[in-house]
Amino acid sequence: MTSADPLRLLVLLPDAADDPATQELLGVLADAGDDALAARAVAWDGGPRLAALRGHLPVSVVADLGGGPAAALERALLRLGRRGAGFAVRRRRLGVRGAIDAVYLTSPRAAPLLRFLPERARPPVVVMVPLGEMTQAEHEPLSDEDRDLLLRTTDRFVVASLLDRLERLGVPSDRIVRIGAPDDGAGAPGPDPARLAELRGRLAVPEGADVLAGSGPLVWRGGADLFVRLLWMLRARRGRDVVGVWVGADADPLERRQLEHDIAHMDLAGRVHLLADDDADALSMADLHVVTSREVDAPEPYRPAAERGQGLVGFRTDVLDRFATDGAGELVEFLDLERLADAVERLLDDAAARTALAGRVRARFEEWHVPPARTRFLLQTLRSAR
Amino acid sequence: MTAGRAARPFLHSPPVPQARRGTVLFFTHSGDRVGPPMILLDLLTWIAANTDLRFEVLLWRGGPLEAEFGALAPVHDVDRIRRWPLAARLEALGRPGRRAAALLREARLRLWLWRIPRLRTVVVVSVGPNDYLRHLRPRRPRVVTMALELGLQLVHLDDNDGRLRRETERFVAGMPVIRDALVGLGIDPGRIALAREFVDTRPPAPVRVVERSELGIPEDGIVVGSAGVMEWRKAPELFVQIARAACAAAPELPLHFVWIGGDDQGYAARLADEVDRAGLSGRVHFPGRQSNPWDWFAMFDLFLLTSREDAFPLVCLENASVGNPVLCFDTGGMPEFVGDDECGAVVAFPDVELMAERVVALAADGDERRRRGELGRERVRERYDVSVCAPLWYEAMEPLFP
Repeated sequence: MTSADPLRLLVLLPDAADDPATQELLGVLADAGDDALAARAVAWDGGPRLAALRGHLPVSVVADLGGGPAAALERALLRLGRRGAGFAVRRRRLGVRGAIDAVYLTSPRAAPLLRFLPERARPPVVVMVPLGEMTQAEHEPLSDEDRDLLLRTTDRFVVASLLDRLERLGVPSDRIVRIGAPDDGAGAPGPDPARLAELRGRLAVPEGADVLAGSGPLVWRGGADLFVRLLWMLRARRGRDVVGVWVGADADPLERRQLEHDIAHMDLAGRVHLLADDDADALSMADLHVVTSREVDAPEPYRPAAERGQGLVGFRTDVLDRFATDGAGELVEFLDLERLADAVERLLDDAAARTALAGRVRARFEEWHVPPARTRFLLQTLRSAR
Repeated sequence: MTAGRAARPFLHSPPVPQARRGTVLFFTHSGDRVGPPMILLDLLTWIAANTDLRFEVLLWRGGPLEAEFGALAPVHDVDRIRRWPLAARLEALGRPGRRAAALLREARLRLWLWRIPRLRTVVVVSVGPNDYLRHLRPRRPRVVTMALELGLQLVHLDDNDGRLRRETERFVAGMPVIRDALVGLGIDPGRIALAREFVDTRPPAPVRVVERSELGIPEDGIVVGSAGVMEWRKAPELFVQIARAACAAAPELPLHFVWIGGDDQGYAARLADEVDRAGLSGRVHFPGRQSNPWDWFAMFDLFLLTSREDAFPLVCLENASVGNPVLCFDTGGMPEFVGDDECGAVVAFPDVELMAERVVALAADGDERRRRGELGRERVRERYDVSVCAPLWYEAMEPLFP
């Protein structure tokens, strides 16, 4: 198969419910186009989006299979312990015939369908784990048999979040591919210069001061305390005129009060601004976006930088590490604020390096999150899964 | 716990027949082995041994120190008073029952407090929990507040419509920084007296020797200890960050970091994850709450206080009592004890990297470590022992005693 040939894909779905898994598939089918994809699908169950799916590809539904001689033959073979032959009959009944380049599960919940695949010469299996699906899987767990089947059979897990949970299930990290949730709003124009000037004035950002941004709720995993300490380090120990804006601070007033206590104690009042989401435009003032999160999960804290095409620095944590491969971010070891401050200073002093970094960040963002590029990335993952 | 050793203070009023004597009620939030109850227990032990003051104790809830309080005076455990079987039965009757049960509990507590004979003065130990003042209002006692905290803890002054601020006739601040903070909050300096927080510097008899091997620490390991309830004020996250920086700066030193103390807010699990991801597993240990903290202090080589806000944590004095140098940030009152790095080291908050340097320097130089530890041991005995400080507290409060 060459990259010009359409990808012959067997899609396995738990059902055609109106949920993230189905929406994800519909998005991929719409973006891929007929030239890139020759797919057919098998769903365990029907659902309200079945007609929409059938507008893109043939879909067989296991629950709708009738009786007849083929069903009787399948039952007989299975009863005789001839599972391979029995499931071959099942595949024919489902209309699955001909060569398949890859099997794509829209959700781990489609795992029971994997047992219909041939044991030998099985095509590579790629499982999409949409946002929130692993949490759901924890609440409605797969049977042990299906879980083992999923972990044994899958060549690539494509995950939108909750990577660590997948790793906790024992999936080796080289079988995990990270992709972001689709972001239809990407590419929206940023705030106009007048708005930015108004914000700069309101926050009294001195002329010539560098601006660092961070974002996320004021909770432990968000690492706003580390962002504040980084600012302190740059200002107090290194004498840089730098201002910090943190967006997402409209959380628990206690957490806010505690952080304000630190800010006051570090003599950073007026130099670190805790802003609510309404002031997200302030992120566009930043020369660099800093991710000091202890845990990176949805919504990904790199996204504000990536959407805006800004340079990204942060700690090497799982998701960020994957996002930043090939230079799409400057990362340092977890908790190493000294090195983080080094990286920030280096980039603030080198506009060309900062611009180049920002370009790589934006490109990765498009690859992961902007639907057409994201679909190309997904198809590439499917093609290379073998 | 032992009685203080000082003679009866000269300011103490002449003996009065007990039958005509009023009662002072000391109250604090719990009988837990934490700062305010411990300081109260030491103070009452000294008062019982050196004065004829009649006092009782009210604890919002019990705890391991309750029996020791009970050996000195009648103790009222509010939690137990409110845990009334009749109210519990009412609660089972749904919402109206719960409302009635709450009213009954309040009424029972108020009635109970009338059992305290001739209540004349109430001493509120620490600003934090002050809701129960309202239960005593009908008896119009004079109110003294022992202020032992700083910063965000002091905002409780204005809880319950500022009753504590309004009704306290005299605040006794445990440290100059506390007095300054109270003045900053608008308390008239004329209402504030100054004493000094303290400990009984004689370590209790060992319960058991804590072996380093229990935590997998080698015999030649250098143990940097800390202790306290894991909460924002104590900044246990900085403890991990200092450990990371110190281990990175001196990988050749067998440094181990041990934090003992309770954890009601899930810090330990979060920090254990952080320790793991920072590659510090086996170097940073959180053995949790311990009933024999002095035995752990004896195992430490250094004591590291990471608090971002802490008036004068007694645990530092206890560590100094066993010869551990104390390292702290320039927050709260502890720099007063440490001095110009004499009994340990003081570092500007939140300079984690510099604190790590100080840890490494003292870890690497055993002689200097022992010298500073010895200076601390002397200083704590001279200035912060119960025998020295309890009379100061008594003197500051005595004008309001019956």
